[in-house]
Amino acid sequence: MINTTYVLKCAINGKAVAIPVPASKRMSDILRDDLLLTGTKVSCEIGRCGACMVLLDGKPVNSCLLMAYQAAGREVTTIEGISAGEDLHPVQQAMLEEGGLQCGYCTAGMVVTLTALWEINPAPTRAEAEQALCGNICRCTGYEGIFRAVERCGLSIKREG
Amino acid sequence: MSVPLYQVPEQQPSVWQPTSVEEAMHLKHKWGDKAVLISGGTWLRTRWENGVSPLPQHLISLAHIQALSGLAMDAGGQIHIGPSLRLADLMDSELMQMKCALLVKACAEIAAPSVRNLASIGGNVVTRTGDLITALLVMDAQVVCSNGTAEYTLPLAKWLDVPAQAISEVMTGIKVPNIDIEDAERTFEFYLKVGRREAFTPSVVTVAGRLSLAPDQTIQSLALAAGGGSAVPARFVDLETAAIGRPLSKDLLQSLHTGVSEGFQAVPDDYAGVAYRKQTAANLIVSECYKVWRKGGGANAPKS
Ligand SMILES: Cc1cc2nc3c(=O)[nH]c(=O)nc-3n(C[C@H](O)[C@H](O)[C@H](O)COP(=O)(O)OP(=O)(O)OC[C@H]3O[C@@H](n4cnc5c(N)ncnc54)[C@H](O)[C@@H]3O)c2cc1C
Ligand code: FES
Ligand code: FES
Repeated sequence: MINTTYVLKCAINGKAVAIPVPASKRMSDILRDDLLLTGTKVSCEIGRCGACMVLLDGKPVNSCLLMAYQAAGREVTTIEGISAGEDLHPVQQAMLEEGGLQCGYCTAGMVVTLTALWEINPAPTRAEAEQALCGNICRCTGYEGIFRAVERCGLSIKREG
Repeated sequence: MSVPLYQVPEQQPSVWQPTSVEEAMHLKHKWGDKAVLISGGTWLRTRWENGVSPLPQHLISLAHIQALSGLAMDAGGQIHIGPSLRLADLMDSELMQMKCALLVKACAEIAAPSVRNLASIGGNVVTRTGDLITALLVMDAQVVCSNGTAEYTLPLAKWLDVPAQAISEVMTGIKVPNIDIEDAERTFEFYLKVGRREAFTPSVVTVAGRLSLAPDQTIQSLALAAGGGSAVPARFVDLETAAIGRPLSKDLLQSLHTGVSEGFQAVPDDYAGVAYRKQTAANLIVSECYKVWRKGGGANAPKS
């Protein structure tokens, strides 16, 4: 049995961590409260808005649905782990250049989802991008800036092709 | 700012991670109602957050029971699906795409990719209202369940007939029979989900169907199912039987419409009443059958 004395061992943004937390604690709470990684936002808390998106072994999951024990031995990447040091990820760069945000509340989650998409499909069609982003809700931008950013990320690849 | 369900760490549930069905059932019998089996936890967490059911004292995770996550086809072409398989993995599987395309389509309409990376097929079916059930019903799926000592297999439709029991069992498998390949060209399938939004909310109505035509254009086999919201999905067995051997025609479509409207056990909620759901289910099913009529070479199919 694992209980309140549980120690979650996993990798967060490439670093091995061992955090004593209740085994059923939500990853969104662990990230924000225990690890002070507050780039991950929390809004709906039931998997609907995508603000809390993280990558689990490279795949997007809602960290408000993910419990500590479910991340054991796995690789969690948050928005803080997306850029390589000072260099922005192409998705982040494109979001900036295309004005893909207003209040920015959804942005971390959007970037996390788009990074996962970019890894497997750097030049998605509009339909593929819409499908990938269907779990990320933005209340401000009307999505056009975000989709322009998706297109910008893939421009170099399209030109080569 | 997020507020944990229980402020005090000591009140958080204990998590058990058995590696066999026997062990899981042993724990469940030991803790009774104080424990729940948990797969992806996406359905359960929504219920805890919404206050529909209390956070239990014990969570018995099924994630480490390897026997629950296989995916294979046997020599007879029957597909064996492990209930712990994630919806995203099912969608990615070539075997599923080839042999269970309708189920793959149904998975693609559940929530968003990020939820499908956590949610399991078993969790969807065990809720008894999951959107995959209509697809599985028309595929004549069977479920395998175990109480830890004995296993039994039942057609999914029969399993759904029995009211959910407080005593618990683990669903250990979902079996989908082989579809006769010879019929593939004359077999038509559909799956449609109508919701208030495209994803995330329980569907208002979900319908699925499979229809195969004989060389003379009469209906050789027919399976129709409807569910959605809190309705337990079900087949329309009498209607199906009455349609077999008949050609698709206006009369037949009219009787299907009446039959589905009358037979669908819809459940109302704050957003949609019974009449609306019944009519929607009937319209969807009839419009899909009409498409089959035209696609299937029905020379006499009217244009609209
Ligand atoms: C944002 C969001 C959107 C959703 N949208 C949809 C939707 O569009 N359509 C839909 O159908 N559902 C939807 N759901 C509900 C749910 O996510 C899915 O039905 C999912 O497939 C449930 O799987 P799970 O593994 O997470 O189940 P869990 O939450 O782990 O379990 C669900 C139930 O099944 C039991 N259980 C699980 N596995 C077994 C087993 N092998 N044996 C016995 N009992 C078992 C659990 O005890 C529990 O009672 C949504 C959920 C969220 C959070
Ligand atoms: S806070 Fe997790 S999806 Fe909304
Ligand atoms: S920028 Fe405000 S919610 Fe998206």
